[in-house]
Amino acid sequence: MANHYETLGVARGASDEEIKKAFRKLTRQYHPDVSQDKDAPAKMAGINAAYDVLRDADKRKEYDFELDNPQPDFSQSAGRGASGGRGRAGGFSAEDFAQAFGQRGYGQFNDMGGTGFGGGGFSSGGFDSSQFNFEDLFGGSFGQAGGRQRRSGPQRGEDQHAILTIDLQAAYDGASRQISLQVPQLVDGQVSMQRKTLNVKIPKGVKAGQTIRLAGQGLPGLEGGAAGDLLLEIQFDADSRYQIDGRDVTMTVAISPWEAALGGSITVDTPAGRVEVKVPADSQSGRKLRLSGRGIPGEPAGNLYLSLNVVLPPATDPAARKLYEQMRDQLAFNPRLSS
Amino acid sequence: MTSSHPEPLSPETLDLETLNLEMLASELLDQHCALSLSELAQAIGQDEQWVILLVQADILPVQAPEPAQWRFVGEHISRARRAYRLQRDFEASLPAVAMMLDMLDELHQLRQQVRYLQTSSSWIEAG
Repeated sequence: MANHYETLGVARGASDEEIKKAFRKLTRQYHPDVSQDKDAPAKMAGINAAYDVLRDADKRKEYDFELDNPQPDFSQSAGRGASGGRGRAGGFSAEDFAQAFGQRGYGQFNDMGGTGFGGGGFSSGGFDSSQFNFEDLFGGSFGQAGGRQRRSGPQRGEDQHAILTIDLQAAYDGASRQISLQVPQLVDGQVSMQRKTLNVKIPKGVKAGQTIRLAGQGLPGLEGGAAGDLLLEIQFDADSRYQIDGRDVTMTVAISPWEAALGGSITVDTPAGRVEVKVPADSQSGRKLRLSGRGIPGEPAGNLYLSLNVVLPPATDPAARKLYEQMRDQLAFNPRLSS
Repeated sequence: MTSSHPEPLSPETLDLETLNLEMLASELLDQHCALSLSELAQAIGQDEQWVILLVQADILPVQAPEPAQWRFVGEHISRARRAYRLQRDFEASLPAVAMMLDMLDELHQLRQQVRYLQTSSSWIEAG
């Protein structure tokens, strides 16, 4: 595992200005809200963990000392947590979780194979294409770290946030998904990861960006406080068959040249089921047919747009070839001449 | 049962175990289950004052002038959280964050459109 200097790509003796510059450059490249890189959240978490230490003269000095005096049983990944928690006898808080895992609001998008620090995360249910991304287990605690005083007495647990990726069909029909996540728990003063499996009902008509709340499934409360909630942000998986805008859905439908030219009824399988559609005569590729209310259900339901795509029979077929030749010979048609 | 397990389960036992899982009560945070200002602040782990700044910067839309009447839905949670990360990681002002969010939304739409349009656009060398 790279040390903090390697993570930021700077030398041991780098100046504060060089460290800041490297951080800014990497942030632009890997920020999970901007980057398309699948590993961006994990990379950004590492970049932030490194910057949190190297930007602070005291922490950097302590870290340099640790680098120069490596201790047995002192793994790099746990290092921050160990130093962060040192000397704190009681007073465990969600912030300690956050520090222990070196997170700064992104979480790790790992598979469940990972254990402990590296893969503290999630796994998909394995029943279907839905995915569960542990987006930001500790996001809230960092938000509070600067501003809020730690109160004594019962304290409500932090809300947890995650992204749940579903397919379009689940939004049309509603579905249930099983998700499994590893959550930090405090057992005898030690933070350990525990697996938790939940069944989640996805309501019919859900849109990308909407949130499902599972009350009481967030981080446990402190000193008898209530548990926080688990908030799942819905995203659709990248399916190139569909273009989705809110509840409106566009999909491409292949039609033959004669269906396009002569018009008539065609049968199409859509996420809303099998539908019969009337194609107007003289349709061209790219023409869109609207089916009102056949988009994602809701109030109001979206529309389903069928984008026609004329597919030619291959001329390797002798009969087709003969017909093409007839058309060439008998039709004065040149699509490059504007009519 | 949906409680956490004391020991990490092996995948085999997990499958058996999870067959008995109850379906959890889940709520869709839409207009029928909207959040107040304090509930939104709690959900994103920030204080109310910061949410008010987001409203003032036009990052979160509201329908009423009085904060006590404001209602937020699930989309606003993820938007506010993205705003927080962008502000923190780029040391950006809220007006800059507002523009970044709008551009990121547009980028997301455009990427989806490109993905959709590219499916049928293979090419071969001609001429």
